[in-house]
Amino acid sequence: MSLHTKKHIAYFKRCLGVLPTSFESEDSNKLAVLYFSLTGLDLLGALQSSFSEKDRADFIRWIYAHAVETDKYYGFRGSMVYKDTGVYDPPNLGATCFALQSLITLGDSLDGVRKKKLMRYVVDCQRKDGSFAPILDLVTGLPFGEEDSRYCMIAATIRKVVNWQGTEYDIDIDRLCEYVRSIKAFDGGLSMGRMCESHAGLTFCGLDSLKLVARLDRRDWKDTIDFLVHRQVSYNKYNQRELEENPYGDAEDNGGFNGRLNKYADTCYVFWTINSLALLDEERLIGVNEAKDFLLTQTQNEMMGGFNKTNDSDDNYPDPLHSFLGLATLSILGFDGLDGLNSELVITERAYKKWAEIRSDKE
Amino acid sequence: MSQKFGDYDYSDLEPLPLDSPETDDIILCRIMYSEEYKTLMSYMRALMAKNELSERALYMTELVIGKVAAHYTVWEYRYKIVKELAGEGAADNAAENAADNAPDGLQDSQGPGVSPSTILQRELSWCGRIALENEKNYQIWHYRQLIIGLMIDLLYGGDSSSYDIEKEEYPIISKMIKDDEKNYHVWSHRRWLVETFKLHSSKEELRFTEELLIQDVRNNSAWNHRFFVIFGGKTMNRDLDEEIEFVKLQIEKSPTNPSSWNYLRGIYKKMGLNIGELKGFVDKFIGKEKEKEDNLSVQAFELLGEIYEIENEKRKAGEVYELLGKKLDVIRVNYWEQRRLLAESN
Repeated sequence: MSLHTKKHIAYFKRCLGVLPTSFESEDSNKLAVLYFSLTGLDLLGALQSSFSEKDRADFIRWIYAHAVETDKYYGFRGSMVYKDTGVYDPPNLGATCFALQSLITLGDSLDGVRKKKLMRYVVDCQRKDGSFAPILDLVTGLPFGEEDSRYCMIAATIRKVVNWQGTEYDIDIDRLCEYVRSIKAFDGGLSMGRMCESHAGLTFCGLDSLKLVARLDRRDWKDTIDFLVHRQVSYNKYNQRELEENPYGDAEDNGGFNGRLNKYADTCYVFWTINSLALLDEERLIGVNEAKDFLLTQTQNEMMGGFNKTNDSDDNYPDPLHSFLGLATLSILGFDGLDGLNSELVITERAYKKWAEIRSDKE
Repeated sequence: MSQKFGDYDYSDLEPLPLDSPETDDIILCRIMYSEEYKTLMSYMRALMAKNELSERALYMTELVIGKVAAHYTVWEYRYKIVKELAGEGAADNAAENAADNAPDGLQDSQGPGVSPSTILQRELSWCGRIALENEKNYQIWHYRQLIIGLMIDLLYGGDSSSYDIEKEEYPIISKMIKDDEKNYHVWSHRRWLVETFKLHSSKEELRFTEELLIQDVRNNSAWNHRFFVIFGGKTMNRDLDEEIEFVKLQIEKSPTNPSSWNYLRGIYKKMGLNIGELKGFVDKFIGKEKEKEDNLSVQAFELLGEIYEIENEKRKAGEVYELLGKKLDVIRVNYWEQRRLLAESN
């Protein structure tokens, strides 16, 4: 059982090229597709060899073309379809984060980023309860959109990537931490809001938010670690009844991870769980070989490259998110031939070192 | 050029094409847009740029959401349109239509004097339809909550008790749950309803979770909602002992189900009860009396380990964790080994 490196490289290169019409529904998520694919290639050590220096400079120019600047604010839009639509073209925190992660992966210095205006936008997206909205309503200046820990992590990532030391505008870190604590469910997992159901993806977003603002202390999260290690699916003779009685029981999920109790295993939850544990330096608490086997034999797409979401017989197509997260997990688990992953910023170790170098040169 | 979508005419608009000279020379994540998409988006962009808050703009947002539901400002735009049509704009519309006397059916398919109530009711039904078509959509439930807020403000003068949850909310939730009984967004919406309309003591909420748990005792979303309803309010409207008996019964039916064990432990933690009380119950599932492996429960051993820990029986706790790691739950051997070392050293 092996990693189909060449096919994965070809897959990510296809995602970076011309995408079929079926991707229209992903139009707003273009910068996410870009980030997953660039970082995926970088994990495979193929970013520099796949594109010339001129290509990479063009990519940087392409990303900066997605920047939105107003009198007060700066950030990035998810797609050029928003451009010239006035108040309906605000920066989007998700797109901004993916743009910045992609820029540093391409070796950009971020000198072109208007950091003060950017931070003003991030600060204004923070709600009273400490959480963040994806966008601002540019007319009222109020946060708009759904609330959950994803945007907390995104806001904290932006702040860290631009190395914000400013006192003039800064997010309310105490409130952010309070919010993250408030979404912990009774079983230790984090969720979408007070007393919502625990969820491995939102657990990662919550823990990473704290890590990014240097407020994550392993001792506070013992029950969360218990929740996380139990996400690894295992059927043996002592819980045989689960395979017989649980409608979500599937022997082929063994070694994989689910996002919630009694759900199917899924490539992305292998990542969310293991990377959560990695933030706490505990990624070895799970069955490492079983996790690798699940990814390589159950969700790796041997025909097209990339990773599928699940091992369902009707789930035959990879997508950029699951493909990147599958590879990133193998990287955390120390798979030969892959670059390391910086768990906090979710970029490669190579990109992280380069980013840190540029940062220290400026200081 | 004449341009229609559905029953609406857009011929007077100057479409804003999708070209972007800044990036057109670079092929990067370039989607092969269909002609249909390009035309649609160019009119949508023109309407947004003018911030036109009209019936035809409302219809356009529906078409765009059908193509790209993750478009993050189309929802904001749609909300503003509805607010205008049902609020400040509603009075103007009625006056205009009355003066006109012969309204153009294409321009205003609703006819003269559409009341805010009709507009908002129609919007709520639309939300239901879109939710059923996009099960995993993040935005639709947040949007629905905004519309409910608008109804309460504009129709009921801020009195939320006038909003008929049984008629407006329960049927759509039931339909969604029937398709996917663990849909995270739907359960979060149900939680929002309980919180917003103060339904912690409502019998319907408990009945709803009970019905779903009868269907599938492993439905963790139903367990979580039950926990929230009973323990998330200011006061508790359920007898604690009865609830503990209820979950114990569910464990006895399916002793290997992690959700019900979690729930039992959750109650003990939340209420500050002593898990030592559960020793007798746990004994039923650790094969103590008979070596009956088919009634063994890994979760019972996990709880037993913790009971020994709080009773300061370090060696016994260590033995349980060792058994978990070496025999019962081998995949997590490193975790159980860590727990054993911690238990023995504390």
